[in-house]
Order: sequence, then structure tokens, then C-alpha cells
Amino acid sequence: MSVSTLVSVAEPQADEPPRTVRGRAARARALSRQLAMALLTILLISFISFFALNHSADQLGKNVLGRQASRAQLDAFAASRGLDRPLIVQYLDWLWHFVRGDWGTNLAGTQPVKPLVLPAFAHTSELAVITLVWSVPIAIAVGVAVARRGGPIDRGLFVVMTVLAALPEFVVGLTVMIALAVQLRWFPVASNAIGLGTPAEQVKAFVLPSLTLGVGVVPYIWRITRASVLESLSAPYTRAAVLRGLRRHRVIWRHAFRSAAVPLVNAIAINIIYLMGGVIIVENVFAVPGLGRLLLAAIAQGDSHTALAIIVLLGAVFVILGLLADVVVTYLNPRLRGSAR
Amino acid sequence: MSVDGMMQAGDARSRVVRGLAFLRPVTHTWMGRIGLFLVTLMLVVIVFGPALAPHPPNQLNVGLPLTRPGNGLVLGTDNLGRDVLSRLLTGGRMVLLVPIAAVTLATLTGGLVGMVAAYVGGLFDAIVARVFDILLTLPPLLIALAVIAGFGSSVLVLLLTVAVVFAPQIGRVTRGATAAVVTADYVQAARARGERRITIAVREIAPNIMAPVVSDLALRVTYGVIFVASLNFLGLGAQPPSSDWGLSIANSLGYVQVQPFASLAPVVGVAALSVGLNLIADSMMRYLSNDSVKDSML
Repeated sequence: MSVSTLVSVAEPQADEPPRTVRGRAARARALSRQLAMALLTILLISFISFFALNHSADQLGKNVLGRQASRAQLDAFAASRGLDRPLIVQYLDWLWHFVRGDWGTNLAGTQPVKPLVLPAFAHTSELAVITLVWSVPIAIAVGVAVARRGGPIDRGLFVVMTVLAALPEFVVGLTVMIALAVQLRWFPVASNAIGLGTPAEQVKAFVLPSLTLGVGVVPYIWRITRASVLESLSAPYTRAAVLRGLRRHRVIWRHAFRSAAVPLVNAIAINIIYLMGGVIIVENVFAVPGLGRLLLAAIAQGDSHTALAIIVLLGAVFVILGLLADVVVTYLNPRLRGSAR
Repeated sequence: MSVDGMMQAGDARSRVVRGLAFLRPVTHTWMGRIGLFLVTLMLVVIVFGPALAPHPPNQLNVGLPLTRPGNGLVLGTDNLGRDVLSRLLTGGRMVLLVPIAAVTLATLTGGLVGMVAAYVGGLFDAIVARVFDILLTLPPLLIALAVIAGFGSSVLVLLLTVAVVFAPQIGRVTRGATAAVVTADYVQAARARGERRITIAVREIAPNIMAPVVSDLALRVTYGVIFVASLNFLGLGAQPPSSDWGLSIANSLGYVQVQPFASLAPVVGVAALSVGLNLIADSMMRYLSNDSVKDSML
């Protein structure tokens, strides 16, 4: 499934806070432990990326000054950028500045990183939010409405969703592009109007990238919805509702769907996280001026400060959303909340 | 024909059926059968394609650049006038082989560590579980991008990156499967018989965790194909002038309005492989779960 390849996510740790947890203090302790864990993960991401992206000082010097740069020039360059210090010192220095909002300059030293990254981050977030807003309700509605085992519609959906789930983003992207942009000419092939064009152009530019991302989201949410509705449909309280003579429609939406909501919150969070990864590819298919495109360009140019800022930013979003999902799931599920309340 | 002869024919048939019994988890659903067909087809393309290609994949100006299909060129040419069909037939190797190699490597490292940890238990197991947890919280694509950006894009770097991403995932599955088996009666019995630990691991535990582990591996290979194809598409794996599918798609993307077949052909290749593998993995999972009977018509 294209969903979790790129962003396979650790399942929520259902066995972590519960059972022995007593009262508010214990919950606060569990929460602060999760917070510490999240912070550690973000640090780890920045640490790994810093060392992986670290090119030798000479390499960087040659990239900026040109191949013919003399030894003295290279040394002067390294000294002026602080590249002659030990790596770990460079990392701590970078981290210290990054945390305080100073994200450094690009490779050539001509442009600060922050004003480059923030608008791209805004576009990426827009794309992700737009996608969630249409794809999640559709997936849930289909999942609940057709939640019965067997039957031609269920079987047909199953096949379609399984196939869609297995397609990489760029395969879906190209297919929609050829069908809707090249053949039918409904939408532009490239979405670089985002952030520049007229409002109408901007809206049109979002359609194909969002559709592509949504194709990754819908099968996942649909599958979880279907499974959890089926499970709660066979639960005793549902049978009781049926026996009371309530109509099927009402039983499904009012009774079965409610208890199906818990795994759904988790699934939605996982998909937001997936979106932050999927965008990297989709943005490069449709030339969306977002973080993914900027990241690839930065990597291609060996511009490690920009690449690092983007990776840490995306990584932080990834971790924070995972944490939020954990908290919400714990809050929604009384069993995980322990004996509190 | 004598009754004897018919009996022999029946025997031969049942022998074939028995020989193919290991395919049962895949073929018990018709989705699994389609998956098997797609993957077999792609295997044929990947293995025999290079021999069948009408032109060398990197030969320039086989026809005019960006000609549509026709004039003996079944799928037309790309932006450099290279034959799209030849590039389709030669470009699938990496997308299949790198994930298989990476998953094998990840199983031999992460999988083994997970199994040993669950078997040994105690502090070692606790540490391994914690390390897996931490590694699993890292976003794979971001880490892969950073590593490849730093170490340069080569097949080896790509393979190792995918293996590193998969090792903790596979490790967690084998650890869980082993932990479920370690306390079983037959393991206790083997212990009581005084079998050596290594014998117990190989004779008792390994065969019994095979089913969940193998079906998880099938899923990992599917993910791996998508992951590698995506990285190649982003230009972080295969390098020009390779005819790799992911790379070819990225290369032809700018000309999609003029010659859509140059990008459509490798798109179909990647799609057939990833969908086929996913159907197989799905079918295997279903065979293991209780759902297999109820959903068997699928």
C-alpha cells in the first residue's frame, strides 16, 4: 500500500499508559513521557540528517567558489563558515541557532533559509488540509454505507480499493495527469500557479495534486471504517438496537459508527502523517511549489542548510501529529484511560 | 485406455497439485490468482525483456524524438529518440531486485535480532524492543532522502537505505511471532527433552513463525517496490541513462503532452508489479487470518 511505505508509522502503543494508571497525576506523567519521547525523536532526526547531509568543507567550498579555488581560499571559506570546527560542535551550534529561529543561509550564503522555507511549508500544508477535507468524509461515508460482508458492491469496492492502495503516488499522479490534463484539458499539467496565479487558477492547480494524494488516503480510511463498523455491527448492543426495532440506517450511524470512531481517529492521524511524506512525491509530479519540491532542489544543489531545515520541519510535524493522535485516542477510548473518571 | 492408465494420469495430476500446494495461500482467492499472474508476467518481462528488446535501450535517435507509436515503433520514442518499448523491457530489473535484496538483508539482520531477543528474553529483549520502537518513529522517506543526499545516489546506497528502513519493521514482526510461540507446549517439551537452544530455535520455533513472517515479507517487498520506484522517480536511485522505470517516468514527465506513451509505458510496468505483489500479500494475509473462510469468494 502506497500509504505506509513511505511513512510506515509505529502503531499506537496500546499497552503503554493503561491499566495501572490511576488518576490525573499518572496521566500527566504518561503524557510527559510521551512528550519527552517525541522531543527525543525530533532530535534524533535532526542529528541523523545533520551527519548524513554533512559534506566535507572542501566539497562545499568548491561548490560555492568553483573548482579552481586555491587551498588558501578553501581554508578561508571553511574558517568563515565555521566548517573547520569538529562536527559535533557544528551540530550543536546549528541546533542552538535553529531552535531560536535562526535557520542560517543557503549554500551560497546569499539568501536566508527561513523566508525560502516558510511559504513552501504553507503551500504543502494547504495541499494536505484540502486533501483531508474531501477524502476523509468520502472514505468514511462509503465505508459505513456499504459496511456489509459479501455482496457484489462490497466485493467490487474491495477489489478497487486494494488496487488503488497498491499504486505509488507518481503512478496515480501521471495517470490523472494524462487523463484530466492532457486528454480532457480540464486542469493544468503543472500546478506552479499555486501562490502566484489568480484565485481561479490557484483552485484549479490544487485539484490534480489533491486528487492524487486522496487516492492514497481513501482506501486506508475506508478499510479501517469497514472493519470497525463490521465489528461493532456484530456487538451485543447493536443487536439490542436491532431487536428494539430501530431502522438499519439509524442502527448503523447512531450505534455502530460511534464505537468505530476510535480506530478512525488513529487512522486519520496516520494519514495526515502520510500526507506529509506523500506530498514530497506528488509535488514533484505536478511542480507544486511546496516543501517537497524545495527539498529535492536543495538536495540536488548540495544545499544542506535548506535541506536540513525542511527535513527537521517535516519530521517535527510528523512526530507531533503522531503524539496528538496518541493523546486523542487515549482520551476517546475509556479502556486506555484506565480507571480515571 | 485402461483403468490402470487413468489411475496413473490421476496420480500424476494429484502429484502436480500436491507440488503446487505451497501456492495455496496465494491462489485461494481469485485476487491472489490475478496477483500471481501479474507478477509472473512482470518476471517474464524483467528476465527475458533485455533479450527481446528490438533496440539497445540507450541507443539515441532510433526514430525522431517524441514520435508517437507507429512505423514499426510499437510505443514510439522518448525525448532523446530512444525506443520506449526497449526501455520498458529493460527497465524493471532494479525495481524488483533491490527490494528483494533489501528485504533479505533486513530479515537476516533485524528479523534475526527480533527472533533472538524474544527467545532470550530479559534485559536484552527489553533493549531491543526499545531500540525498534525508536527506529520505527523515524519517518522513512525523510531519513532515506537525507542518507542518499549525503552518501550520493548509487544502487548500493539505495539497497542499504531500504534495508535499514525495513530492519526494525521486520524485527518487530519476528519478535512478536517468536514471543507468541516460545511459551508453547512443544517448545517446553523440547526443553524438557534437553534439546540444545539452537536446535529448538531451528526445529521448533522457526517453522512455527514461518507463516506470519513470510506473509509480512511479501508485504515488505510490495512496499519496497513502491519505495525504490519512488526514490528512482525522485532521481535519488538509478541515474541516467539507465532505462529504469521510475527514472524514465521522471525523465518523460515534461513531454507528457507530446508523447504520453513514453511515461505511460513505465507507469504500467510499475503499477502491474506493485498491484500484483500487493494482491499476493493480501491473499496470504487473508489465508492466515480467520477471515479466510468467510471472504474466500474474493
